Amino acid sequence: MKNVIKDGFLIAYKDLLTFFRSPARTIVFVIMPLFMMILTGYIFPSESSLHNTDIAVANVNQGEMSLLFTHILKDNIGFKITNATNLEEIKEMIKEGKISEGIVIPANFTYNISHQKQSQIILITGQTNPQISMLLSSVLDKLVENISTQIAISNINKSVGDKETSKGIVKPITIKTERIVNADPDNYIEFMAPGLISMIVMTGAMTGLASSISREREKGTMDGIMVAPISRFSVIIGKSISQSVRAFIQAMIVLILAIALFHIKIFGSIGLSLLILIIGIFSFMGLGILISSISSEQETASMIMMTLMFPMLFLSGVFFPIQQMPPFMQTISKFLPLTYMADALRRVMVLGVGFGQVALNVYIMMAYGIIFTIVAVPLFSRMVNE
Amino acid sequence: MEYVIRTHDLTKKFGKFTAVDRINMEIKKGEIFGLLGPNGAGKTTIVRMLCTLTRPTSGTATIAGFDLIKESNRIRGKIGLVSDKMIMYDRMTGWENIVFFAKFHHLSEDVIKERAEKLLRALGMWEWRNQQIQYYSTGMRQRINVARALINEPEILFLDEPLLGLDPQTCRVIRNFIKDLNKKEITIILTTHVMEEIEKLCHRVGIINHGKLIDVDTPEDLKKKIQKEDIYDIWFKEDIPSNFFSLIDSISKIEKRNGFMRVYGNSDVLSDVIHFCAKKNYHIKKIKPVEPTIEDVFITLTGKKIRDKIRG
Repeated sequence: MKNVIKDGFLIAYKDLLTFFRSPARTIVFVIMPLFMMILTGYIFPSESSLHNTDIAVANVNQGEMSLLFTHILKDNIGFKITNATNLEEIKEMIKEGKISEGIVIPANFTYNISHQKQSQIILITGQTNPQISMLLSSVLDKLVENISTQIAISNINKSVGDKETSKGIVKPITIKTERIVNADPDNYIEFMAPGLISMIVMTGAMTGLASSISREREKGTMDGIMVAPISRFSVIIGKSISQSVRAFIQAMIVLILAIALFHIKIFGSIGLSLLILIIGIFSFMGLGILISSISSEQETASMIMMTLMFPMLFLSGVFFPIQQMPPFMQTISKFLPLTYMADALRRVMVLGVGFGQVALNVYIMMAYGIIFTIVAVPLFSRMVNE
Repeated sequence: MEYVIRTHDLTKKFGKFTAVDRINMEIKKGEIFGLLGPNGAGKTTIVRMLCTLTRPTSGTATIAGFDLIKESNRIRGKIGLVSDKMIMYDRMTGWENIVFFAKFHHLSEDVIKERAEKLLRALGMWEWRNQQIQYYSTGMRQRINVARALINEPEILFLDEPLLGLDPQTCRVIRNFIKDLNKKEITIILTTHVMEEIEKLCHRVGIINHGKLIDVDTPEDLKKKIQKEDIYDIWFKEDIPSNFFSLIDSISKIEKRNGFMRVYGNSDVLSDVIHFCAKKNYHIKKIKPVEPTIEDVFITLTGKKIRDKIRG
């Protein structure tokens, strides 16, 4: 028994060594979660990522309207505002790297508004952080638009005398936005991150395991291991360990990125999150072994894998909440291990629940792992002896 | 006689296809035993079964005193396998590869180091040991492959097409190495489709065709078996009529070849020809006896040529 585990660790060590010695594979390994995270993070940008962003405001006007405007920037949107005196100073501050964006409210701002002339706000973007600049200008757009509309309505109201009619004249059509997530309506990434972590863990555990076993079979190195006096179980242990380590590292990359780039807060216990990660990896491992046992080539293995993974991604609530789906899809999602992992991780990370509230998920994941492994091990032994 | 391998009706079926069909053979301790056959004859499947890599559909074998089915893990400690698939990891050095596989035999670090050094030096790979395999040539890889297979000091070494695609120099090194190993009483099972290897190396040969063992014997006895007549190539100084030798009774067949005559006949044929020519005053320039090759044996036994192997 001691040797079975020792041999397993030897195989795991060899796997990791050869993996990380390959620059191409290492780069893809790191880039993949990075890419996924940044992609999903910026495809669904949120205004909350502007919270605590430093901007400089040169309120040259100091009038009623300009004060209202800065007040909204500060309290409603949440910018950290540094005061400046004029455009030149803001430009200097950007060059020095103190801030990346600035706003100038010109002297005639309040006067122009109250005399029904067009006013202007100057936005200075540093161009060092294009995403923030884009968000900032869209936020400002919205803000300016809102304020302008309000001013226009009150101006027109003076002659029309009916507020609803004035609204209809100024802005005949408006949009009402319904959000997907109710918990934190502004931050889609907060909903995404736990799902994304689960997904990356699943992809890593399943495809990594199956392709690593198939590759060794095709190259013939599996023969070298099998012709030695070791247990078949050692191979499974070794492959599982090396894939778990890889999946775990990738999950950590996502987590760290989510925290560093998108300011995600983990409300629950980190330890519990990690436990869910590890048990999640285990629940996919058996499935990975199972698939590589029934497919003779790498190509077949990855085809089966894609067929299984694709629906899993969409039905497990990784990208879209399960509650949104039609009932029959909800039923399917109840049979997918990824559902339980993403759900548990999300509730721990976002809602901060304790073990008690995710215990059922954890037990279901463990059951999946155990059942798949029990089915897979004899199939694996049969496969290597064909 | 001590047999280290005995097979009993060893059979392997893949679906409806019978790859190996009730093979019974005995391999003596310390011999170099060749398995000769065309592509797809079942040589590799036989080796894989004997190496415990493929489970027989029926039948069994005793290898190094252990039962193939029940005691496969005991057998694994006693054998080594070299196949044309290089069993090694490209991103590990030659040294790391050998040590990795050695550790499965649960040897002490010191023993592993000592044996690895000895093998690498003997195969001329010592100075390259710390290079990753990906930078090796095919010949260097195969030397590492051989060293890996020998790290557990096996009693039986299986060589499945070990010289496929290798350069002549590496072939010579490995061939000599095999001979040296054999002096140390290691039994060697060699599969090949190269006749030359069989004639140069093997004590006995098993001819395999369509999964069946057709014949087993020494290369010499196999040749004798198929050579029912004496054959000579004879060069003359002058032109002779083609019906010339029909006057000699001991000749059964004559073929006129490019500049010489090939003469088939019984054991009297050589002296008959010489006497006849002396009498008729024809001058013989040269006489060369024709010996059959293992290839002839093969063609006679199976009715077909061994094709050259093409592999991806």
